[in-house]
Amino acid sequence: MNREKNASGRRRMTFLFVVPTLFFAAFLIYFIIWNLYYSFLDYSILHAHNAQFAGFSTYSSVLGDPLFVTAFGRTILWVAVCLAATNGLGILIASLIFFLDNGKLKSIYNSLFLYPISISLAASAVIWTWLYNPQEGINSILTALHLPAFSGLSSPSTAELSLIIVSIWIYSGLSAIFYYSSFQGVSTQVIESARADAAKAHTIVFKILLPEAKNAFIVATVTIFLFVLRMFSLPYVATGLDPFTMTLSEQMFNYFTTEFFSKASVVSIVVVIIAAAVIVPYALFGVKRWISGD
Amino acid sequence: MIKPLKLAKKAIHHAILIVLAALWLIPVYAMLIDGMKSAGGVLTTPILQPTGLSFTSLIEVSTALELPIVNSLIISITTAAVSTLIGALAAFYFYKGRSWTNNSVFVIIAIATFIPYQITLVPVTEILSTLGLFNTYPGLIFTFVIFHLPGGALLMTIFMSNLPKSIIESARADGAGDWAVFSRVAFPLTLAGAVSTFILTFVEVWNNFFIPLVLTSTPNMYTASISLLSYTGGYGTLYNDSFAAALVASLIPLLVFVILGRYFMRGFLALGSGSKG
Repeated sequence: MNREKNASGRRRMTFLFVVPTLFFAAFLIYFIIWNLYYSFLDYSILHAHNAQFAGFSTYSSVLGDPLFVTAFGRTILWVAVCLAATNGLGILIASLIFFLDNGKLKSIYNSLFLYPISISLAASAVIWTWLYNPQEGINSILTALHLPAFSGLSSPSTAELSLIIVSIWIYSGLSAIFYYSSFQGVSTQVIESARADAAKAHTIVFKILLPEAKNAFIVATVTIFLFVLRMFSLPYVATGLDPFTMTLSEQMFNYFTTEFFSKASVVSIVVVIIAAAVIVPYALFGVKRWISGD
Repeated sequence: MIKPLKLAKKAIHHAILIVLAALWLIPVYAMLIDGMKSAGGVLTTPILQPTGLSFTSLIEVSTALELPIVNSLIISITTAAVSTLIGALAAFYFYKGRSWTNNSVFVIIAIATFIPYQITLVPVTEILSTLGLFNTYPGLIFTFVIFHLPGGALLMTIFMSNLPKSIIESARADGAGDWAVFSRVAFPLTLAGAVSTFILTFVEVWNNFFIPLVLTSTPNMYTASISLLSYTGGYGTLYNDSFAAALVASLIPLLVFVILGRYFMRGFLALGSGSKG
């Protein structure tokens, strides 16, 4: 009797440990509901004090706004190209590092490809804007070698590509360490025996390592997807709110600064839906690995 | 005797890595040589060509960025500490029991970790303005904690789930209560994980640009990454100032990465593959 009472008291006590986290998480949920509510109003500088229920009309005006449509398409394209490149480069870098003999060298290379992620996107934008400078930057080498110049950020046709390249530079090292760590989980015996059979390095990568790296693929893809989906400061610092590089987050900010608050909320909801479509399955899939300890 | 073919293969292997690494280092190379270029050097040499050392621009920029860097330190350290500690408490709750409610709360935390923070642009501005916390340290820290605490809780849960349950049970058998088990056993044993969580949060908050862009309005509240906006290099700016500013604003996270890179990487790996190594 007494013992039972203790146990339930203890359970109640333990619940107190999670209360502070839930307190802050509640704000996050509140913010999403707030956005959902406001996305159905016509709250803007035109209706600051008399915002009214507008049904889906704010949605249809946002979805019909060419700026939004372009920003949406651009963000999706950015995600697709960046994912293809960072997964490809991640596998290449991880395999090159995996086959090194020297442990010290392995960890140096791993950090070397990962360091860009510790620099802010704003700083990366400042650096790369100058590297892309038509006269002073990388072009000065290309011209010296009599190679065609790269117009970089100065031309609408290459501005987005230039920024995508920066994002590939930032996230490839992250993808590489996910692959590298899953390669390390492959039994050395299997690899040694393949080597004894004179298997080529690429055969080992494609036949032995990659089939074991399914988790790395999922993790790298989801993580980088979410990083690129919220891409804001790289294009914002490099080019400002430029119609040729504007992303979804920038378009949301654009509506916000011009005080079309309900429109900004609509973009938020669109982003939440895209993000949730990826995060919810990922979290459900992750729970087992994260806490069950296998 | 080493076979020549094997040697050639080895050379190619290293050559590819060295070329890739060199490409990856170009931005850091440019920051270092150009942040320390004199105005004369800027006018006579392109970005990738080194020339004599001058600290003028570095000193000038450091003075200008002093306050933003102090702001970034205050905000990043507080947010990282709060997220790690409160996150560790939540982790202890998840660690202790496997129940249906536990798992659902955990899934919510995991989802909250990955939600793009930009979506709260409008409501967070409204709330902070109403509370009078717009453009203040508490406002910025409060907002950052909302976004980084779920990640802290998730990471600490991953690290804590690695603890053998027997340790906790034996502490409990000695009559220790929850708080004692947490503060004397569970937390000290996950200290390395707490360091990873702290560092990862610290660097993410330091580098965040969007939240201070939206929630600050006067230069005295600007953070390091926001103040870079004045160095993006329009007409008439010399590039040594831009590179010096990028260097000064990135120096602390870069040093953290170089010195404590292990912990940083462990944090990412834990979030990703659930590896606790």
